[in-house]
Amino acid sequence: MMTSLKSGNILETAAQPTTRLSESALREIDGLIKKYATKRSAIMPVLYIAQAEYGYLTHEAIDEVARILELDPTEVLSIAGFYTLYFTHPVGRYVVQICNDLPCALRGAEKFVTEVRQELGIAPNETTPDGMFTLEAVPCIAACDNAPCMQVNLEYYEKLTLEKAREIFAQLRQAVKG
Amino acid sequence: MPKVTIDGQEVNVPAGTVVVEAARQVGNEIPVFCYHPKLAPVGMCRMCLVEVGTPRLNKDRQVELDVDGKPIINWMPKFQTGCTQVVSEGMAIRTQTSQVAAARKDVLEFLLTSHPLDCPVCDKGGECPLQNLTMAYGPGVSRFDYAVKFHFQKPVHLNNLITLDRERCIQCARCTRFSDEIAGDPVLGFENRGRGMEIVTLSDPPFDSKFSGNTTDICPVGALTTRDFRFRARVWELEDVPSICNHCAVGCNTIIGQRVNDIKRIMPRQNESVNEIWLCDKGRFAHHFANSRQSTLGPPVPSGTHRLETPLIRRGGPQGDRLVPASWPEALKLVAEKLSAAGPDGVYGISGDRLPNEDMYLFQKFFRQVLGSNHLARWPVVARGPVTGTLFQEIGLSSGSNFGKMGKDTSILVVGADAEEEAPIHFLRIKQAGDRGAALIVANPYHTKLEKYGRHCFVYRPGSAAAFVWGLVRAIMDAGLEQKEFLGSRATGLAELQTGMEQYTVARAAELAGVKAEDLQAAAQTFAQAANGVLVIGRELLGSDTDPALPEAIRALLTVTGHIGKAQNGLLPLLPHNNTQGALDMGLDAGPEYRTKWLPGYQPVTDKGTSSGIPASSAIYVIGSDLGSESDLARQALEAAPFVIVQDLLLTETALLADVVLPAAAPMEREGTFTSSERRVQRFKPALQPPGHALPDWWILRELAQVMANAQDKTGWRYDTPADIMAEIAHVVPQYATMAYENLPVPDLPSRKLDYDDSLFYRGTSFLNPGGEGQVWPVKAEDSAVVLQVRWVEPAVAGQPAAGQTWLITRPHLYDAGTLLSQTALLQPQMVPHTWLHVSPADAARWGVAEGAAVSVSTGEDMLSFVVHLDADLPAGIVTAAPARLEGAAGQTRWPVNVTVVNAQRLAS
Repeated sequence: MMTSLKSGNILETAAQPTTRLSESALREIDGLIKKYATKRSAIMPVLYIAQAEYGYLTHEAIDEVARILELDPTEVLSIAGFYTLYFTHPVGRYVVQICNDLPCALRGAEKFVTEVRQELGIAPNETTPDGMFTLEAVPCIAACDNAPCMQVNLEYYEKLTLEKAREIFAQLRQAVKG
Repeated sequence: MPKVTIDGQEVNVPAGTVVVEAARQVGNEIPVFCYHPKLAPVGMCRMCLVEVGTPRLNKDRQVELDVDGKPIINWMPKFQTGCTQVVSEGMAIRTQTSQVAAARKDVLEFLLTSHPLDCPVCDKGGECPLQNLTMAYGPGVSRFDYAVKFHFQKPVHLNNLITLDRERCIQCARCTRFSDEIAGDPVLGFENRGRGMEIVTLSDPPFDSKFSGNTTDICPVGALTTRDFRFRARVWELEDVPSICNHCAVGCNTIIGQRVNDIKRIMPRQNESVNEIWLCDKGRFAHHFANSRQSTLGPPVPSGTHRLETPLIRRGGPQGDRLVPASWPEALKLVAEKLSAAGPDGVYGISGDRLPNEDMYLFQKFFRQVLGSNHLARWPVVARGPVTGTLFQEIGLSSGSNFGKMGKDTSILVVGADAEEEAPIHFLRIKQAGDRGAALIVANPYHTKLEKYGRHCFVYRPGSAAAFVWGLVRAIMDAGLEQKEFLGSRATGLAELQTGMEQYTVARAAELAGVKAEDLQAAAQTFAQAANGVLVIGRELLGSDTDPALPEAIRALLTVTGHIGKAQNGLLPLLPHNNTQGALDMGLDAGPEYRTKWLPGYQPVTDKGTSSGIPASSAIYVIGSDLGSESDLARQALEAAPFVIVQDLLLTETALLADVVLPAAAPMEREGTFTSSERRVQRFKPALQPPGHALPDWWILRELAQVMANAQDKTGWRYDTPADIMAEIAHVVPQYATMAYENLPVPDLPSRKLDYDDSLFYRGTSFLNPGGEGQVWPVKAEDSAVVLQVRWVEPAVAGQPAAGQTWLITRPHLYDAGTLLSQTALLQPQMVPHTWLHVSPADAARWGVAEGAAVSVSTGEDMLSFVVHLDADLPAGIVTAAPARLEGAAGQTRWPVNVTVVNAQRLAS
């Protein structure tokens, strides 16, 4: 499954992680670079494409992006290292980020995190054995008013309960199978 | 110039000044960590928080005044960072209020939340800005729990030279900005954020930079330290001795940190005309030859050390001839006897170009006066062809020039020079002149790093440099861009030049050089139209390029453009060693035929002697040169010579061929002067005691002269110190008339660096330089009465290699695995071995060879074995190798060669 900026969820990764960017990804990158005055400016969308193809930003992925954009790999890594939605370690196809900062905690987020941990059978920063979900407890996703809330890749889910979460996880699993 | 008020004190500062700099001008210290005057401000550390206000304006945009007639200030509600806040007219700044003091205290408390406070074992302790500013402004106690500090594993090695302690890092980004902005090596970056933020490098090899050591100087904490100095001394125990780097010809000012007669570290000393506050890694780390105590060469040395500690004399014995220790009187007596017996025509002197001026002057004086012989030469062969000292003293870079001040009005043309490899600090300063707007034009037979910053870049055919430069001259004349007024009064031969060049069109030059005619025209226009122009040439043109058109083309280019005789204009040769220029000045210059050409100060020699090549029948006296390891021809001559004297630091391959070996003191063990390739004469002080019985070269020569001379002559050889010798040089060599030691002050022991202009920001590891910046002697062209003669000489363009052949050219590398450099084990990973043959990926594919493959290269006369090293900067059809391996005695720099593959795969090591 090829994902792209145009066609869908930019954080969704390819079913088969790669060791090199595909032809279609390279074409897409070419198109992207043309939109900017300098190649360097395309770094963020290009990193998303590389992440989608490689599964996460491996050393090879960073080297390849650096070559394409004519940068030193260190510069690419410092961008990837700064933003929380680029991953330099393996993650599941869906990254589940639940806010447990103070306002959300007051609305039961801590309890919710514990329930999701039990539901998925993993601790925060771990990935389910089937490679589907990575759980992260994060400070603030800007939806305190509807807490407990979570972000799954780029989708927001609010006013959550364990039942709702179960439903969402099931739907996502179903979507991948189908 | 906006007027600002800082703590009630009014000051006018240039527009664009930031608050910390404005405050400095009224003697007000605003503490900083991340701010650095050489780097773009970022406002990362928050240490420089101050209160800032601007005058309140009324409806008519007029400044409102209070009852006392003073402007009413609108104070900004929050603190501003003084390093990023640019001043504006009427701005008021408060730096001494209790609020500011509280802010500084809080920032320091915050910076220290995760700092390990391991000052007792930290190399920075004692010269650490974090330590100093915490003492001055910080809280005595922290409210944070020591047990919850954020820990990293320590240390990590960024490369083989630099160590990172992530816990100590305060994330000021000085190191990353230095690498990006100054060095042009964007190989350091931050990963993660918040407390987990750390410095990382992903380049291959890691932290791939020739300037990595500078990050440890500007790091305001102990996060970056060198592996060389790690745990070797406490900084307050060091004696800091001002010195001059003895590697390349830039002449960087240094400080030697000495303790118990051992060099603990070398750091840059500020000289804004030479190295600013920077030093390359070779200058910083390659000092271990001085304290070399382990024998790595040749048979066991009698004293069991590598540095020579006593004279050695070759004696027969049951195990055959060997060098055995001897006393100084014994060795000098033997040398004196042999040299006297050989007579003026039976002696030959070869000097290296690394010795101080005083020693080289005495060496030639010893030959010319005591031995009555002009049989003198200099090694290596560089700058001995047509482009040599006489050209430099005529049209060299004018005195008063400073790369640090070049910008938009300047064009710098670099031909046949890989500045980063030959003179790294020149590279740094040329690059930065480019960053300030100077137009860089880069032309080489292969790609170099400077091209990244070049406005016009060329890769010309090997051997076509003269054709290329003449092409520029012709393009300038075609466009009518020559400086007619200047030419009218300062040059002759212009009409003949124009006639001579008639057939030599730009198109013809472009064809010969293998470049595009329109590019040549564009570059010529840039260079001619710039108000100031500098021509930088390097090893490719100095390596005995035998084309007699080359110096004429260079002179013509600089003359027609008027880039001559005034500050910020002229010719800068990137000479190979620290005192090649001094050797030329002291009359140690010999043409390609090994005949001496000049007395000190470029006065011609009338009796040139008869030698051709190094005469194998003479007694040969070699001083400070390991030519035996660099050239087979030299080696053969030394083996055949009836008597060989070698005076050096180490038991080199050359010394092993000697009959008498005299132990000399290293540069850091004596005082003297070096002359840089900008002709800047700079003095250095002794930092160490010489090992054993080793003596300075001038001392040995003086003793030898006194042994040889009769009683009356001795009066001329009473030198007590190098200062006495320089006083004589000042009389004899016109260029050195003002170079007596009293005019070349050097600070005694630099007090620890406070109260200097920039020490506020450099503080910690900055060394002030109150001794002045050395003295540059003026070139002939600076005298407006001197008329320059331009002359057309057809370029002798080298033919193309035959089908199936390829060009082999010499190419210098900074880490060239030379005799002195190889004593520093730390730099081994950086070395470019003499056995490497650099091959372009295209040629490697054509021959089917991989990295590490064995090949043999045939020049027709010689067969050389090499190991393939792939180099993406090389164009196809060219292979390169180290000059030391190839230039040899023949002085040639290019060969058409046949490459034969011996083994296509990497040999198992």
